[in-house]
Amino acid sequence: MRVLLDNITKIFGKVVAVNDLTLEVEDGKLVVLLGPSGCGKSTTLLMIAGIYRPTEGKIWFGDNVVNDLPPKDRKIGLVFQSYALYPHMTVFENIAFPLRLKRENKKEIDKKVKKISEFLEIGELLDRKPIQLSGGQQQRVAVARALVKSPDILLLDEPLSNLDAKLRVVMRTELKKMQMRLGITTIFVTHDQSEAMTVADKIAVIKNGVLQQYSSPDELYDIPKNLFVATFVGSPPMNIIEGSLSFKDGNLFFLNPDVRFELPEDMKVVLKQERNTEEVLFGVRPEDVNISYERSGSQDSTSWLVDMIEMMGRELLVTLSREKTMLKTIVDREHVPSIGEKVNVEFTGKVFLFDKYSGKNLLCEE
Amino acid sequence: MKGQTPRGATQVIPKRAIYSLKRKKKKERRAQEVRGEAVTFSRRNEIISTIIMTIISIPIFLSYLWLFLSSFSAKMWHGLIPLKFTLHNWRFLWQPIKFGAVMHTSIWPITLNTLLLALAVTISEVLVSTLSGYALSRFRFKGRVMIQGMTMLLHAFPGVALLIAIYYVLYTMRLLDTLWGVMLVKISLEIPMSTNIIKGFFDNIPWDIEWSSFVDGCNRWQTWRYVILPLLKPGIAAISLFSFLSGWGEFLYIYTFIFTSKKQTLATFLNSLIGEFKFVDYGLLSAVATFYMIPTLLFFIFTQKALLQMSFGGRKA
Ligand SMILES: Nc1ncnc2c1ncn2[C@@H]1O[C@H](COP(=O)(O)OP(=O)(O)O)[C@@H](O)[C@H]1O
Ligand SMILES: [Mg+2]
Repeated sequence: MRVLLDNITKIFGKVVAVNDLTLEVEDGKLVVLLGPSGCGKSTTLLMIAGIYRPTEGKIWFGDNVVNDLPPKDRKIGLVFQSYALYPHMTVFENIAFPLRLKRENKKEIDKKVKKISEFLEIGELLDRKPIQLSGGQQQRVAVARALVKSPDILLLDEPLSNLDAKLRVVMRTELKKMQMRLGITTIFVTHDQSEAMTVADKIAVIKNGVLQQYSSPDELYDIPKNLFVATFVGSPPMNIIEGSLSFKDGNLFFLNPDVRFELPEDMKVVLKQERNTEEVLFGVRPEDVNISYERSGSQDSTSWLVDMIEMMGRELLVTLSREKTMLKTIVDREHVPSIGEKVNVEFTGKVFLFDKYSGKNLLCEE
Repeated sequence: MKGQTPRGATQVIPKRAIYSLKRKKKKERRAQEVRGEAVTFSRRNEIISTIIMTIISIPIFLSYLWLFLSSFSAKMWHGLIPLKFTLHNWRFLWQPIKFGAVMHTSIWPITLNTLLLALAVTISEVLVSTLSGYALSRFRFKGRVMIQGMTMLLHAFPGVALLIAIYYVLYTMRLLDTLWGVMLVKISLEIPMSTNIIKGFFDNIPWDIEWSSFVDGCNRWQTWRYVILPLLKPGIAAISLFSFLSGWGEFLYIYTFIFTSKKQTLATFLNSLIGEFKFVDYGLLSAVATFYMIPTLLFFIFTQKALLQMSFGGRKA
């Protein structure tokens, strides 16, 4: 079912938790609400669930406004970060609870619970109490309880945050597979950008209750609309360097006291001449910074000093510095520099420019 | 290449790593304990704690045993060892006791009074304080914090300090010398306490669980019935036990506000058995005292299971 949030605002006393949010979730798609903790993701989800009522705006399910519909009539399944299983009921009773409330007959309930618990591979756990389950098992039970009444919409509030790192990676692919198999419209809340990137059809990045960007994971990565999105998405985060722009001899340069980069041709077209001395932020992702080693003894003015090397598994994160300007880069383990060594730097991928004050991506139209 | 550990060098695990491993184990265990999972106590600790607890409870146990035995014996040898079984001490159950010149009323109406008082206190307290505890825990309204503070303050006053004031109130309400009056006093003085207790239990039920039940299809009443009430059972057991005991054991207000001997309760009845004569029939006294304890024991046995099962789970990493 299509979900449309139409200029939704939620105010708690003096706190504006969600500010004029408009978002369309297409039928059968998985949309992630992504943002740092406290940005209003859960509040948004709870409004869709009908637990909070929006202060302003309308929520549409399909062709109906559901603002006045109580949660039980919304045909939704909801999974909390805490799983919120009923501690006094067994796994079976937990999963069967929504069906019992609908007064379905016992045979039907048994059949449905069995089917969903086999689907989620928790068939052997039905007699246990929630406290006797591992975190991953509890999570599956919570998903089973949410899905057992075949809801139109599945809402997941940080469903993986309580799992250990390894299981989290496994479960996110499984959740995605399950969602695709069932084709259920899903809204998934997380603060973890890599989780968001792997599961989402579309991601809504939220900051302080305000929608920053709503687009596909690819687009979010390639064309971030502002500085916040650019630094929040991608790990390790994008390098940001303060400085100004200047045109010289028909070429566009970014410069500050320490560095001077020539910017690619296509930027010249977008950025007009009058942006000459503007204060901007220059951004480049660590994976797009390439280093090359200097011939010994040369005193090249573009060289960078290797400051720090951090192990990241398959790769290394290398911090370079030039006076006060820092630059991080990812280096594979075949070409390990050593601390104190001087290297040259080259940008192999996209570079970005942001307005220093508004944070807007200067290369985005609009 | 510079700055790298040479290949082939033996890897030595530093001491600190071992230490932190051990600490991690300890942490895990503590986490287990917190989660309420069975952590096997070492056998020795178990034995030691059992011995200590036994030693502490022996004197209490012995005195109750003495009370029980002496109620069934005609005579106690040196006041300690029971001799000769008899039911004579329990005669108050089937006949009014004559005691010197005074004819005591039969014990049954008095028992009924006591039971009425205890049950009235229990039922009203459970009803009122679950509702008010829910409100204090779940709703944010003006004066919430103040009300909570005042309930604590009220509880800090000793009942004796209020006797004269209450006497005056009961007098103007024409409730002196009635069981109703005493009931109202007991209930109103104890609701704050039980409200605070039950509020703590509500605070322990996460919002998420309540919300889940709404999404699963409950209306407010069903949420209360199927989710909140079962989770609240230990709390309800606790306050009903406390309020029953306090109603059943009430002495001061009965002694002060009830003048007719027919309207008294077991506590004052027991007192009158001791107080009226210079000599005391210990056999009778212990039989009545034993009788007086029976409902308390029963009530405790029934609520014990609920009292001990307290766990809110469903979250672990
Ligand atoms: N019931 C509430 N009462 C008052 N403030 C709230 C309530 N729920 C959330 N907030 C506030 O709204 C903001 C957004 O919260 P939330 O939606 O939980 O963030 P997120 O889920 O993104 O971490 C926070 O500042 C939070 O303090
Ligand atoms: Mg949240």
